[in-house]
Amino acid sequence: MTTKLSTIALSAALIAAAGAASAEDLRIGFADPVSAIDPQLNNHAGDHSVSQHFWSRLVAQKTEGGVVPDIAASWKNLTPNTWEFKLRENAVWSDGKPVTAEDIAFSYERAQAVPGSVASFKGFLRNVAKVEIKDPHTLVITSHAPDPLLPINISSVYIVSKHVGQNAATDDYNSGKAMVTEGPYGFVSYTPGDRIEMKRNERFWGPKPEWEKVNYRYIANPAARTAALLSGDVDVIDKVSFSDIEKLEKNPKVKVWSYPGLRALIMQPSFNPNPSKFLTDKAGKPLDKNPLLDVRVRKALNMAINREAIADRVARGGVTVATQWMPAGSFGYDPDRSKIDVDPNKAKALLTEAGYPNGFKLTMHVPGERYPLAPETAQAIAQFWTRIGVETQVEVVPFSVYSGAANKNEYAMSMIGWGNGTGEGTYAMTAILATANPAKGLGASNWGRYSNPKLDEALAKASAEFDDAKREAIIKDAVKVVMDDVGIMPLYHYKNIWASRPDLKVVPWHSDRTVAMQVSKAK
Amino acid sequence: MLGWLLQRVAQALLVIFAMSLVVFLGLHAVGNPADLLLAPDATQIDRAELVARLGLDRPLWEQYLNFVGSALRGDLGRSFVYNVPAVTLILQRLPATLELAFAAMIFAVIIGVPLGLYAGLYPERLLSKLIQTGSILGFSLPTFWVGLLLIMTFSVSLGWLPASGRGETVRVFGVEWSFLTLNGWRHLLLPAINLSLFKVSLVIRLTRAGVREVLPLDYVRFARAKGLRRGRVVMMHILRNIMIPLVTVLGLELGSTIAFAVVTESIFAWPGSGKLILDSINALDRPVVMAYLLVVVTLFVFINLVVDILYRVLDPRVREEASA
Repeated sequence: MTTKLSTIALSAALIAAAGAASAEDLRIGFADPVSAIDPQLNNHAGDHSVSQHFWSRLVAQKTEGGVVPDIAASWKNLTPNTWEFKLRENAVWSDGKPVTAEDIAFSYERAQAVPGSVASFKGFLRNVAKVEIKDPHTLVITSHAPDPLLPINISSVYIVSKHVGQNAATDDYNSGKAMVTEGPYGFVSYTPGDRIEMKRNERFWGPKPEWEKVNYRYIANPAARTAALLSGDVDVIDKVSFSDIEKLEKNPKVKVWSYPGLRALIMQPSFNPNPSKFLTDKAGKPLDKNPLLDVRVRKALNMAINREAIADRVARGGVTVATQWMPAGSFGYDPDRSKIDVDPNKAKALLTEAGYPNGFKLTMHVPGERYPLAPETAQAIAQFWTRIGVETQVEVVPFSVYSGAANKNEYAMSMIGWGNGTGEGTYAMTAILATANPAKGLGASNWGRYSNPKLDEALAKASAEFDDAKREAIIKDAVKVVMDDVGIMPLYHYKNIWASRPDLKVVPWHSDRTVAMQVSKAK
Repeated sequence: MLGWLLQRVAQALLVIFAMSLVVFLGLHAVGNPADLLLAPDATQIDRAELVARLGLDRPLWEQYLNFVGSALRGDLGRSFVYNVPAVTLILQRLPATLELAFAAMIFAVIIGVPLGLYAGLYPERLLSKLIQTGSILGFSLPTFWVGLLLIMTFSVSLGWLPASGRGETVRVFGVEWSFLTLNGWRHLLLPAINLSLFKVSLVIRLTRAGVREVLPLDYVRFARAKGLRRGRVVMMHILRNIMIPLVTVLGLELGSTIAFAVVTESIFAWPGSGKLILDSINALDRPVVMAYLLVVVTLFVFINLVVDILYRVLDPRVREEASA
């Protein structure tokens, strides 16, 4: 009898031991899919979050905007076209070899030609004409054109080692064979679609990383992520579901960490001059002329939207209201355009003035699962617009269908979630506001084909202005131009929300990346 | 027997060919993978390069012929997203799904058959009525809801079992299996129960109906009259005769469980092939979707073959028919 009892006790203890992890370990449940461990294969959100554990960059971006030293301890602008970077003397690879300028040059070469890459990093290096090695710890980068944003751009490209990397393919990184790294954490194992295990890199040049071991688990379903945290399977989760925030905030066993973010949800009206089946009169006949080409109509639609109500009721406090493409406090934010008045009566008057006293019918499109809350937000907007006479229907489309059609400017009104990853205004100006110009790589995500010469001119000026104060003034002017013209309708900025065990502390890292480095034991 | 087998294989090849054509056209109609794969800030030049490299700018028939050509050489292409061979990707994930599906089927049989037998043999008892009503719940409750309920009860409130993911694995024959470790079973239990719920109900109902049908037949009465023990009659005369419909349905169910355990896999963050296929469809990762469906069709064909062979073992009449 006693032996039986002790067997039961022992197995119970074993089960308990299997569940608990050491206090030096951290388990994170994250939402973004990861395509590979190779840091230069794909410029995807999940890949970035993983790479920041293993790899350093020449310079890095932290929290919202601004460039900080990483492998390069310092840098300066020699001429408008050349930059000199001084590397840290104490940075070494996990096999003990020093990190040198050779590695940087090799990395920038490899990043532009990784076989099988579908979202290449070469966009960040487009302006890099040549990388010269002056001595093992000094290098000079020459750009094609004067480029004040060069450090920001290269801050997205991870540095891999030349001595291992030159004979390595993506598979070698995934298997761990080529994982000779220089970041805060080292590679242990990778199970595709499931988890990545890491350990502290004892040779890391920076401050000693907090965690001995990190278990980084992919849990795509938001409800499953919350459950994993509540049941103690993981210590931290990211992208907390908006519907769970309230419940979690009341739970004493959990702490919610919510910070204002850069990612904006923006509507892009179509400037397509041709008749569209998504813009009709009340009887359903396509209109001869696209009413959205009239600035009065765009203004009317914009002022009919009650953003505060959407942030409060639809998003339950998970977002902050957006009146321009960058959030308050960021580089290039214009305080003069900090409010869009909600005025349905004035909106109706503007519609009448524009020749639509009875309004018209509009169908807006929104991707189903890509951007959190986008379908619910679209429903709310449809009601605001219907109230001023623009009868609006919402069509929710899978992103695989949506992206193709939106890209061809087939929709009358589309939505885009824009990450503002560089933390300054010209990024959105280049991709979603500039007149579409494939040869120059401008307006690649300008789905509505908005075009305003004043904006294009401001972008060109800002791109060549090295003086930060002057550049910010140009961007602020561009905000005025676009918002007075209602070229886009920004709705809100997503907050970045993590939840953790109560004895941990989570601080923002860079935008919505989720990394072990942002988690520490609460003191 | 050989002729029958050859006929079977020819049928299967035809099915695979037709399926590949339908899926290829369907995937093509959905949209262009380039739009999904590229980073949001990619320029139009990047896009054009990618489209050319993936061969998406070619006419559709040429793309299809290319696919068939390399498939015949055993190459199903590399995943657009993961940049690894599609087949490798699927074979990495399949064991997780297989063990989940088999665990669910085993639960279905060991819970469903005894309960069904009982309900069939004693239809008037209160317990039988409870079983009957319970099986309706099993049919009608949505999987995702039951899954969340299981997690809330056993993981969050009671803290007995982990809420998600797959446990520790052991490498056997070059494949990672988690059902060989205690930790693995702890992770496997909840998703397997969740997945088996519908099947348990199905088995209960099939068994009960079968028993009710067979019970009044002459040979059963005769066996009883002959003085055989009740237990022997149930095991040898009744159970064996109701096995045929059971095996058919379980065979089909096994196939669909392996192929479409998607909901359970996504709620329990189970790294199986169902989740892979869902992600791949969303990303329009064509090689993975194509390869996956080919694997699944082959699996279905194989399961049906096994079911047919089982018929022969179980039912002497089928054996004679075939040899005649």
